[in-house]
Amino acid sequence: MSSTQQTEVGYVVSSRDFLVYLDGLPTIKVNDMVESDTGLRGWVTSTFEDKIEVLMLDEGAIKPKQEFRRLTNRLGINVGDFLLGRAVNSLGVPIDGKGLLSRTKTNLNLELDREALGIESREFIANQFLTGITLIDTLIPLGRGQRELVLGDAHSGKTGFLIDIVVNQKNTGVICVLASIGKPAVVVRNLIDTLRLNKALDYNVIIATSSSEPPPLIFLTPKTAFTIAEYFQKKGKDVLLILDDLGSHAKIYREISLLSNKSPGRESYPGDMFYQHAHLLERAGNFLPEYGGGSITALPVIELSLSDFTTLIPTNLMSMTDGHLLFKAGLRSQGQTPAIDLSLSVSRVGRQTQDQMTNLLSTRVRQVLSAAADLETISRFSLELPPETQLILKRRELIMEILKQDPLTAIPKQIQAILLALPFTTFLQNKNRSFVEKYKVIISEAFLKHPQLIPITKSITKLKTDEELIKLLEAAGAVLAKLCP
Amino acid sequence: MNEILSIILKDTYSLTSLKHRLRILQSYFLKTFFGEIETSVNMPLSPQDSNWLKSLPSSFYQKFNKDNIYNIFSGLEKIGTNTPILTMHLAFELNDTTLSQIGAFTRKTFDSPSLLLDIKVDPNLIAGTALSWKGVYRDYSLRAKLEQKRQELLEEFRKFLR
Repeated sequence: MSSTQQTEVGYVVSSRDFLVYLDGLPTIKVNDMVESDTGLRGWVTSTFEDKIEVLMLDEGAIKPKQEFRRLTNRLGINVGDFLLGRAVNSLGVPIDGKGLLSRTKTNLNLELDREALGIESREFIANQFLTGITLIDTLIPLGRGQRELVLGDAHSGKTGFLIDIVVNQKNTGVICVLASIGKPAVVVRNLIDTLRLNKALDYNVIIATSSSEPPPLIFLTPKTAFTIAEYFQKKGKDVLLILDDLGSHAKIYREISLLSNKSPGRESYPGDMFYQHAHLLERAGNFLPEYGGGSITALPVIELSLSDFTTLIPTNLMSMTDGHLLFKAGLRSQGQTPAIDLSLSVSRVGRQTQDQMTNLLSTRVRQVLSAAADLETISRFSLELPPETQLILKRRELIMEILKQDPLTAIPKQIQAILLALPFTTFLQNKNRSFVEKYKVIISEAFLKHPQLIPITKSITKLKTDEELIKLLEAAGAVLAKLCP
Repeated sequence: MNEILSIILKDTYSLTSLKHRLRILQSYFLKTFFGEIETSVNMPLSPQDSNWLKSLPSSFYQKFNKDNIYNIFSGLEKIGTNTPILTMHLAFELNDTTLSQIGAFTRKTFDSPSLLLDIKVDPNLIAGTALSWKGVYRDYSLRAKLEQKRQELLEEFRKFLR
């Protein structure tokens, strides 16, 4: 008997919303797919002695005793370069109205739920992931293959910051995979439009499920995103993966688990909540050439309520990532963009990827910032401050102004170092915050275009210490003074 | 309980007829025990159903009384759902004679005296049958055979058209 004539079938024993239990299907495995006689697809999530649990991926009526057939393919999607510039849902169906993804029938089909590669495949993270944002690249640097959690209040500028990073990857060869998990359809539409307007769509793949779609489909979104990211990583590409956001992913998983009678734990999340996220994020990393050679830099996002990051999901995610960036709505309303709280943000991997000079410079800047934080309370009480204290407070003020960056702007790495070194030169000694605000852009451009300043910009890569840079900039003080009257 | 079920299953071959017969049997007993005597005699039954009720041995009827009737029927339903079921997809609807012939044949073949058939009508099969037994679905229909020989058939048709 040929395989076309023999399949496995199961019959509906019970169903609850999108959750269906079937009997029959003797050799079914987890992550296999089944289809009802009316064409509704389901995904096998667990098997019991006498029945199997199926999550329905299509919406439709389920009747008692309805017949389900096992499908030959397991839960997976077709991947290929044709995904670039496209938006798909978690099953790889295009949602951007641009028609078919690919006309070839022999596409590579990858399983969604793959075990992360082991330690033998990993390589030391040695290259910096440049974002074009001064604050990140100098003070909280990211490495290629790092997992950095982005957490913050609603309206604290997280999405804008992420779009900036994506847009700044233009012409760098980095592939960006954006997963929009259970957001309103209009948000996804805006995201696509913003990227198109900034000519950033060509190196992007968007995986989006809207909040109105069946929960199992939303739950699969980050898995699909990782599968697509892994495809590009295996081709030796550096991939940036953004998961926006894992908070709604956790809520969807809680909904599914409660429906399937799993016992609720803390905040009613199921016991394997940590596993679900760790299992995902473990798939990011920097890989050896034998395993494709690329890297997956993952930026999972989570929205906090009332800046409280001590709840279950944020603390879970903090413990499974290599650092986090904490966004605060308060800082944003004070005019600080990106609104990252420097004292509460950390990168545990990025520092090893920075060059020595930037590393020393960022240590110097951090010292000023922490010293200023200590002195701030005293400065409120005394009118006459010693000159050293005044200098530290002034430098802090200038540094914070330099770190402010408008949306959709990229600052080259050399200029970032120059700008951060300037507060330590005599040129900015007697200047105030508004001076920096006014002339920041002019100074940046001058170091890229002015014939007398270009040699400094070019020589930065050869410098060993931050002091050498400050000395070089000291000499350029006269030229700068002319440019900034 | 099993004895009662085996008497009923003796000439009941499909799941639908088992359910139907349990229902008429139950309403017959309920009317006999708790209803008026006249109505129990004049139950509106089809000739096949009343013939079947008459065919049951008197020892069978003696097993039921006012006290155990509800327990017996809820027990029968429970056991009934656990009997082995062979799902049979057919292109046409079976009449009673064919059903009992096929039923007797399958019981003999599968060596299971309590086996029940779950008949599903699917005209797309064209002819023949498709069976599903313990979750395995095997298609012995004409549709499957045509599907299997699709290429050869198309080739033959092309030759004919030339």
